Amino acid sequence: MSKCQRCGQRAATVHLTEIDDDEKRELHLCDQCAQQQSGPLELMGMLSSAYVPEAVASGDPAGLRCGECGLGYVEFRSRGRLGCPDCYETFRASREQRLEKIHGGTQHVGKAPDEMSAVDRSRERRLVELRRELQASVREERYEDAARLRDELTRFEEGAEAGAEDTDADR
Amino acid sequence: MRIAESFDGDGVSGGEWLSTRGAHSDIVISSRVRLARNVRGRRFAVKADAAERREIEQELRHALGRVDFGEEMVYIDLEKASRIDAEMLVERHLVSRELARGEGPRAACYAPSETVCVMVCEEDHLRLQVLRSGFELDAAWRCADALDDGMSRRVDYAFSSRFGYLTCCPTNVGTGLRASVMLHLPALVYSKHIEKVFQAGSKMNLAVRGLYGEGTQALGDFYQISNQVALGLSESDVLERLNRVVPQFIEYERRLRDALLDSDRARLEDRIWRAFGVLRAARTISSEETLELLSAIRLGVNLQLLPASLTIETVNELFITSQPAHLQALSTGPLEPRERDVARANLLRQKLGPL
Repeated sequence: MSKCQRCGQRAATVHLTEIDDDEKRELHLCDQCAQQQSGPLELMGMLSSAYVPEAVASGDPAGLRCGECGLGYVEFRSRGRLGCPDCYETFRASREQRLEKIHGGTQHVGKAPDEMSAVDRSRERRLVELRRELQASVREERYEDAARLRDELTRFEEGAEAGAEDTDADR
Repeated sequence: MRIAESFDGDGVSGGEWLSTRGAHSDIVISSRVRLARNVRGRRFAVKADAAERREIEQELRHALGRVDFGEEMVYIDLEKASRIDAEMLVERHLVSRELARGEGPRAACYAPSETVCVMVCEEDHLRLQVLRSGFELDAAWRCADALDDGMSRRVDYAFSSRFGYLTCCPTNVGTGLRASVMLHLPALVYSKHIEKVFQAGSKMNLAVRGLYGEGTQALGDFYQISNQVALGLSESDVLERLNRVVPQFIEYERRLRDALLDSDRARLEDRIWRAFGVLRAARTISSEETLELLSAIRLGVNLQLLPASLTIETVNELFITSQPAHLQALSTGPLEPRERDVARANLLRQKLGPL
């Protein structure tokens, strides 16, 4: 019998396959180390009576469903994946508990997206809108609209390019 | 354009990260920094349908086209690419298996120098990866950070001040950062000390896994060490931990190499020279055996136990070009496994010089 991969002393009695991020990997742990590492284990949906967490106090989590993408709590627990950015708020209470266990912290302390000027951001949004409108008008065979939108898009992109280059030059 | 022709060099040599330019490149093959990002107001890959993913892919394609990467990037629509082309990118460690073999709208955007590769619509909408030869995590991070800033000016990232960059899988939330190094540890494996690396990694919250092969198996004695925690630590905390721990693994491997030379030289040389012999003589050879033997001769070159005409670059390149998709890309087309084994043997004899 192989030894626990974490403490190297006790025999490994818990054998798990983690599907994480890019790859699949195997963990061989003894009972004690497996208990300590229960955060990621829960996350991977490897539920067993020994490692199910305390029920979330605020009501029945199984009834929770994200309003934006429709992800249900049970589906989330079984796949270990969230459906959209809003899920983080929807499942906030249980999220914090899990994140505490996986990462040992629940407050982000790293970098934030580069601060764009309000003008830049709204320019980017307008560009996205124009492209979507163009796609829609082509789909619906409103070709005059499409031509007009394409011209506006070209003018806008050239303007946006100039704006973006200025921003880059400032760095 | 065929993917094989999109890379710098003669199209088959490994990218910058397979060169030996970085620090400790005898043991550290490469360093990689990956940032996971998603678009605000859009569903994650697991919930988005094909139409939404197509829109996301197109928006990101436009945004990528307007970021300055310092070189002309190659954009591959993986929904249309051939299976062999997609697998080539996996073999060069540019994209993950999941992206190559997935379904629906998805793409890869990479630099011909193979120092940057952006995955579009993998598990997260955007996965920005920067690679460097040798032990160069800080340089890789600076580059990734700058590219991320460039993208953030053109894409509205899903971000919360509480949870950080929001990702599909909660193990990535926060910094969205996965920093890793790829190490060649043949002496640790020969001396059966590799378990210690797993244990040490586990204690430090670092993931250790074999690069080729399933789970903890590691063909070719390559191991990847990466952080497991992405939230509650800053990016520099994550890097600092790896920068502190990896040198200890490097030192451990070096000491064991010296010990093997001192205490067991004849057997070590025998292993290396037998590997060299088989690689240059075989008429058919599997990829598993090739990885094992290449690992031995890579050690041989590092320890200067093989003829000086054999360079590390040649060996590094063979790790890539002996793999299935590369073999098929270089020949006239798809090959059955047995044909591949023959083609592999031919390639090895050609590059290493026949007996």
